[in-house]
Amino acid sequence: MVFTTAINFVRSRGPDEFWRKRKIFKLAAAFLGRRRNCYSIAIRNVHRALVYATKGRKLKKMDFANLWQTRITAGCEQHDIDYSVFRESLVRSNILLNRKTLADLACWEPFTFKALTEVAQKRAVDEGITVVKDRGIVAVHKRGSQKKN
Amino acid sequence: MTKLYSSVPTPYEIIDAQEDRKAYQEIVNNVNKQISENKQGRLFAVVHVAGKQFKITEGDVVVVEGYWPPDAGDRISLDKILLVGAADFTLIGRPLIQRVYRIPQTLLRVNKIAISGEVNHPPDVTGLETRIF
Repeated sequence: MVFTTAINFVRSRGPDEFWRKRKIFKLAAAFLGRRRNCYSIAIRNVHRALVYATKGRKLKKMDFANLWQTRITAGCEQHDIDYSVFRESLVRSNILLNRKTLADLACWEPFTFKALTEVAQKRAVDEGITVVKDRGIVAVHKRGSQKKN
Repeated sequence: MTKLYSSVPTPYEIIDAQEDRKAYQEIVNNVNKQISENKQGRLFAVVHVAGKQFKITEGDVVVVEGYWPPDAGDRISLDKILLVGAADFTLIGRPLIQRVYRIPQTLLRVNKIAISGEVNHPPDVTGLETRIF
């Protein structure tokens, strides 16, 4: 017997499922285990990976800025000047080298960096730029019983 | 050095400006002598390209990210130099070593400021029928 109507009950989800999932599997190619082979696991991890990539773009900039700042501070300490004083004095002297360049010079061109610290030191003396010292404890709130005496 | 912001009196006093000038002129002469005799050695420069600063020297390969007009194969000269260094001296630009471009300036004298026509009755203008704005 031939059931000619049965075939009408087959509902096609669409011909593109393979390629739709292939897009995800391509992004998951370097993942571990089932995360690169099984779609429902892969899609979750691919979404997380994309979110991390988006957030990472900002973090990368912050990380590098921090690294450069650490290196410049280290170089400044060797020449006995504070980082903030150094940068402020350079800016006021119209020397507009950025952190990346200053860190490069501190690592690879020590004499040039020394010259810059000297310029900054002279300018700091001229302008009266000093390190902001700790102001210490400003107010102490006493709790508990206060004996009146 | 001109003080930009501070009015704090300087803790030192310039006694003899001539001597100071002689001292720094001597340094400049030494530098010029080295350059003229080509004894300065390998130079490095900090150059400003496409909004970013690069520390470069001869033979370097640099990646410039973003839109940049020059094509592959063009020979160009990078003129915005912030710092040049050699073995014995450094030239620090404030902010650039040498002014390399001139923006054209034009002086205008304003002869007259006047209101033509009455307020709310502007003079008729012909020839704008085909305009869309």
